[in-house]
Amino acid sequence: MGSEARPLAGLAVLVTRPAGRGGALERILERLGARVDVRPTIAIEPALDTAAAERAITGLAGFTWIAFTSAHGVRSFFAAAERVLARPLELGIPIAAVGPATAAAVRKCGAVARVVAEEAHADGLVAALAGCIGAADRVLVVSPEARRDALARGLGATGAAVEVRAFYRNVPAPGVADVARDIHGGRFDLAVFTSPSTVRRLVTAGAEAGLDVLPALRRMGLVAIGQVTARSLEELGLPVGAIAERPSDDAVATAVTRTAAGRVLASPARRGEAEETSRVTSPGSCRRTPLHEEHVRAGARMVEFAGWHMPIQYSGVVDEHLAVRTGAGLFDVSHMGELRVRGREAVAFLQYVTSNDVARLEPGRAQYTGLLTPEGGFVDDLLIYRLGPNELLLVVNAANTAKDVAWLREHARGFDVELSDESDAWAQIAFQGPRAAAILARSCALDLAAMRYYHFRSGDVAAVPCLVSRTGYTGEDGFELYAPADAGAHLWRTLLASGAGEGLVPVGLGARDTLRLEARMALYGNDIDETTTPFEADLGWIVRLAKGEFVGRAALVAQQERGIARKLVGFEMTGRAIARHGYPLLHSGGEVARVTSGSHAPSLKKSIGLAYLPLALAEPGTRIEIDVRGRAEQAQVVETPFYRRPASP
Amino acid sequence: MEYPSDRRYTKDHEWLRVEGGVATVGITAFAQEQLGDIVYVELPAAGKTVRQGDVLGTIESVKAVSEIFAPVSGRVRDGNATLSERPELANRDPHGAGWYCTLELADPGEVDRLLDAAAYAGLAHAT
Repeated sequence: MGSEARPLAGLAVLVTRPAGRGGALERILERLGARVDVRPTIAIEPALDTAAAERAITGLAGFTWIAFTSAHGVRSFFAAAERVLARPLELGIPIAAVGPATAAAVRKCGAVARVVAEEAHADGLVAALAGCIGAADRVLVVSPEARRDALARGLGATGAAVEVRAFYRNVPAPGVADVARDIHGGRFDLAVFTSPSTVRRLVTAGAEAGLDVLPALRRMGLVAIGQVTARSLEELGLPVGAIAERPSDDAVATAVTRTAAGRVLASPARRGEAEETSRVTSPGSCRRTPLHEEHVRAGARMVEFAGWHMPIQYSGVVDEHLAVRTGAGLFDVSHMGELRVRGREAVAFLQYVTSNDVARLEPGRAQYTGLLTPEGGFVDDLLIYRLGPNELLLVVNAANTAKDVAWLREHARGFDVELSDESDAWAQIAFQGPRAAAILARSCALDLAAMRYYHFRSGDVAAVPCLVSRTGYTGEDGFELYAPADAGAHLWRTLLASGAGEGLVPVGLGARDTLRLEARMALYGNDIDETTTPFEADLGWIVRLAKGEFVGRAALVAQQERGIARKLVGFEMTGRAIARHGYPLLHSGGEVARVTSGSHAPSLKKSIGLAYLPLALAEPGTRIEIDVRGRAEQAQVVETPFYRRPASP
Repeated sequence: MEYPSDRRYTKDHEWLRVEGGVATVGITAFAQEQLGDIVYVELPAAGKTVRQGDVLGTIESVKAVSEIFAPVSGRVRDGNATLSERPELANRDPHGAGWYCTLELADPGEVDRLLDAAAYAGLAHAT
């Protein structure tokens, strides 16, 4: 039961960036245990029309701003300028850069970018420049070959005169077809993409060689250097394992490690290996919640989950589980993502990107819903809180936060909305169990008794301004509290102390998982993902086809007409053996499905699980077998939820 | 944690106590704490012959599956049927009633090469 000091041990990592960019990333990844293969998929060549580029340099005096869309653009421009002018360029006009990596390249050329978009995309730069540029300005946009890109369009809208000049172009690297073949052959576990063109050239080269590399890429862990690259992966339907927080070698290596850890979580439980310990990677590679010190002081066992350092248990999973069923438990769920959507078309936008009916969601109420792909699969499952007429809060899974933000931004084009990722600003505490309402009432002035399920109010709890919501992920009555991050620890300590005499205990992710499974609540990444639809997951109630057009609707209409072929159902083991995630389900000697979630159920003292079974086998009472590490163990399909809380007195 | 000196230990956090050519095998207090709530135990079949390091069976907590390795070579005499009924015994009394199985020793020399209590306590402490 040793922990892994080398979290990438045994993994083959493909790095697609162009050659000649230094070996620091490769060295870091190798130190973490990876086998690294640097295989460029693009090459940078001078622009075809060098005369036009050179005219732009000799005519620089006529411009009032210069904007760069990539680090390559910066290098090509300064190199060309030096060639044309036969001396280093002294730019007399302000520089705008589309992201931190581009700004860094500007610095390396001895200049300073006056305006830098925080996130590397054109919309951000246009917004940042909007106040500085007007009709009197003439802007030179340095861009890849022959492309009037989003930046040029956005700047044009300010009234300024915009000229796009190409100083370089992206071409396929000589060996890109071989890279596509190796990916298709399953040679790599993980891949790092450093620009949208590194992705697109690879997929195109594969197609030209008669290979569809997308299925192989979907099985790999994919790391993007930034939001723009992540978006280009998502546009191809590829799941992004992690996005580097900065375009630096260290941050990319961290993203690779997170992706590798996520793959362990998502892959079938490795036989004969302690799942828990295999999830632990080197401390420091993951983020801490505002309550981290509280957990450490309480002696919690900490693990990495979805890139966060989280408590998996305090006193023990079974104790904590039963405490929530009979008394009350407090959970740190600050790893969850909180995204605020506001604007004139906030409701219309969410109506378009989610499956449930947001128009029916009144202020003060919450809604469970799905963010779906055009194919009807889950990008994520989430809660939406209607804060006001044009303001809503989305609570999303920690592992999906970055992906969801990219997805939402992508689909927000054309809507008058503003999206902000407030995940770092919030502490989230779940307060669950039959005693939760009574204990919370002592610290909270809100009329909790009058607050119905899936309703919420704003009010002080222990003198901390909170959003208090009657929701949860345990199958018990309870609340979820959203508080400012810096007040989270005070809130946690005050609540724990106020309920200590009534059986209130802190609860880790271990019991959170067994509680939600007994209540048959889906876990993203296990029970639902981009390959499963709400109808298949028995979540048809969050799909409102009648509300009008939304992403995924056409696919769901077609699926409804055709009928589903499989359904997520619960099963119960006859004996005590535990069917874990990824174990095969057998019927008539053949494999018919895989366990999506499986565990010992402390309240039932049985082993239970979920799996997508063919409809013919989905009826309660159907007998099946589970392949538990080579032994066929008896099980049968049962009604869910497995556990239903006793009716309130 | 206390590790009794009447037995030997392995780096895999198992213990074995020998009486008259028969070894009783179990997991250590450190192992049970690391595993957490033990909810399922898969015992080896009586009569099964194993070599040192072979897998005897598994002990599972709510979150993890852990294999039990044969600390020495031999033939399985018995699995602890009480443990199979009450897996939590491995948490409550890992060095006593929570024992896992008994083995008839094939090579008593293997026992001497295992860790003594002091060496194991050092290992568990350092882990």
